[in-house]
Amino acid sequence: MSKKKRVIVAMSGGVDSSVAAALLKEKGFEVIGVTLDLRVEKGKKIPASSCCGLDAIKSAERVAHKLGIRHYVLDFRQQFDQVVVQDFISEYGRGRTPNPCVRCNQLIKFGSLFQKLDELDSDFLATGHYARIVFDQKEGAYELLRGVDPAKDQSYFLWPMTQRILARTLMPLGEFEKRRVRQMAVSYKLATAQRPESQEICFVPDQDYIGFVRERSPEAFRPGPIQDTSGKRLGEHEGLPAFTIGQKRRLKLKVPEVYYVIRIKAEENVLVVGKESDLSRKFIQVEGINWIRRNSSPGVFVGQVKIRSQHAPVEAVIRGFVDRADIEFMEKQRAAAPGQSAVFYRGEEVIGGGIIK
Amino acid sequence: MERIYLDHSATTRVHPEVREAMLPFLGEVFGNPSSIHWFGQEARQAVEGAREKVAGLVGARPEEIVFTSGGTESDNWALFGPAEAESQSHRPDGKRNHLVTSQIEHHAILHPAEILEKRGYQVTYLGVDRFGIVDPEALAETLTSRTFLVSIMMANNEVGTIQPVAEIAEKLRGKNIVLHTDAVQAMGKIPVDLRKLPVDLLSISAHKFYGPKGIGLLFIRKGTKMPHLIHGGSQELNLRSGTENVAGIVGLAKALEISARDFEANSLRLRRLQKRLEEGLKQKIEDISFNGHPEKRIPGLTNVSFSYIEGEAILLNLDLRGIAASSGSACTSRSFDPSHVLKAMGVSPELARGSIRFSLGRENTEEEVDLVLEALPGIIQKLREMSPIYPGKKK
Repeated sequence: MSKKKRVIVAMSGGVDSSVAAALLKEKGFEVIGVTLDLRVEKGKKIPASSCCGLDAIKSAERVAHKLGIRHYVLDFRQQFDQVVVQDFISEYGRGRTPNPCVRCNQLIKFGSLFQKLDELDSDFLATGHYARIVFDQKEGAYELLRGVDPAKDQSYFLWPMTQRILARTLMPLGEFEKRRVRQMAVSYKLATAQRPESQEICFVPDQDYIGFVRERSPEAFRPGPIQDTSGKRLGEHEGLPAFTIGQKRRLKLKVPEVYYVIRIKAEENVLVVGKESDLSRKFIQVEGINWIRRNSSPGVFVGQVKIRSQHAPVEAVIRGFVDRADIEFMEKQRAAAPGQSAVFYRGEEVIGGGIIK
Repeated sequence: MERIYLDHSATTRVHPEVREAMLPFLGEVFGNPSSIHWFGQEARQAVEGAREKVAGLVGARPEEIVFTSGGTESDNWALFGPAEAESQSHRPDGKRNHLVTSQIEHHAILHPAEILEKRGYQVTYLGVDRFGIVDPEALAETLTSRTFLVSIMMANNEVGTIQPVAEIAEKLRGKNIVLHTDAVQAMGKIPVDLRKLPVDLLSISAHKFYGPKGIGLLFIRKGTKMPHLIHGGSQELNLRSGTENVAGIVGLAKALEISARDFEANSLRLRRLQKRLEEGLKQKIEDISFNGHPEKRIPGLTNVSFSYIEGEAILLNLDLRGIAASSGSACTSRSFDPSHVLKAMGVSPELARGSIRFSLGRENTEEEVDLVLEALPGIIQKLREMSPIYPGKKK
């Protein structure tokens, strides 16, 4: 009898990762639940009581207990703060629009946590992401595919995954629709079945990211001029981190026309605004590329590009290089924000992705 | 999987004799000790019998023993009580507001101390030497005319170091300062005789010496002013209200009785097992260091640092093989925090993160120690091979 394969499931306490753990246990894996302690400390002094509390950990514990699997809490607070939260803050300081979830996947879940696999003699890391990993026999490479539920597909956040990591990752929910996952949670009698969806940025209270950046980095907020595309001064902004490309709120301009942020010039602390038509771009450059199937670029191809998490992928010509790509959209796209991820698809498959320059 | 439990400083399994002694009070003897009828009187006799027994075992008077919900409650009371008493006092030279404790106390002391600080009290957190021992001379120097309380633990929970509480008491002689000691880890492992040890307050928790969880006591020496913190039906000599945990109280007394009865034999066994473990570790694993005092340490507790790796990874690997050890203190999120005790002892943060605690108990065997010594070298070597800072890596 061969030894059971051991899999570490990253459990957040929510429905998805709980059902993922249950499915893998049913498939005959030896499942170990792991919850990352990612709590961001407020203020400077870390209270001695910081080892206690938090609903997510408790919820994951309950699920693990219900499933009869081991469960560990790993302290990733310091790492998370350094590589995700600090980056989030400094990116806003540079007038960019970061995506901390992508970075967390890349450096925390499929970074530091992935490294624990060997430490714990484990074969696979599993998550509750809605995406599929398929091995292409012909090419001898792993493919990353969208989840089958188009409304829940999370492949956009996974573009940094490499072959080495895909080979040891399981995403059992990619095959299912969210509705079905909720049903399974009920039939497994998991306490989390009714828990609400997780919020967008887990470490920002009340989704007030501006307030969060202001608290952690008040020096990043320097008032400066708001200009139109001709360089004419239209008003004053409160500090660049309060703005993102395409935004019209908070500008407080005393003019009748509606203006949008179209460019953030961080070096000069200038906010450039324009009309809706100025927002759209035909070309963007993408850097820091990961090509999923191989290290080299697939060259020039026609595919679909998604430029933010709520964006429906659009047709484009992708001119791939080793570490960057030039994108030409078939139709102009609104508000491509530097710092956001651009992900390239061909049908169901994620070809690669990177950061908008 | 066979499981091996080496975490007796976190908690212990209830002794079978203790369980037997408790069972009637989870069954037919269910009365409320405060009731006047026979049901109540049975329960009352059990509680008072237990109090007398405990008092006899620690050298106290029965009326000096107050049962609580455990070590944490006792410790909280031992800080907030004297502070409250002080605030009610009418000293001609003004109220005293200074207390002295150490950096290596349990959080059940440190957190109340922090709260008192926020309320305007001054707290001195004494450092320790590299073995984790508080210096009584240094303590004496921090005392002022405003000092009303000193709280120093009898033995530390992470490294097991025994503190010179008797010498500290000596320094306080005649000074009208309340002396508390947290004896949660010490009780059952080192002799405690309150006729000889002049402390005013002492905390005990039953589950650390094969008694049940949720029951402990605070010894309050006669004459010590202790306002009560839990108000209600005037139980426990009107010091700690709430219907008594009768089964727990009976269990605590029985556990203490057994620990006194088996004291010599157990200590000897634990010392022998501990030596086997420590010698084995030294022989089989390079680059390790032991934390705590080599002799002045409670039997059975070994805290060891493994260079280049994280204690958390060691613990998880041990657990996956059915071996339970600990990082030093158990806490509810089970997250791994660097130890404040090792830090106070001057252990580097890197080494502190690579530390784990084995705490042996009465049911451990030589075979179990040998199994741990078989499993551990492989785990350590594997983790070191993965460590970016390990110099001995095989190419």
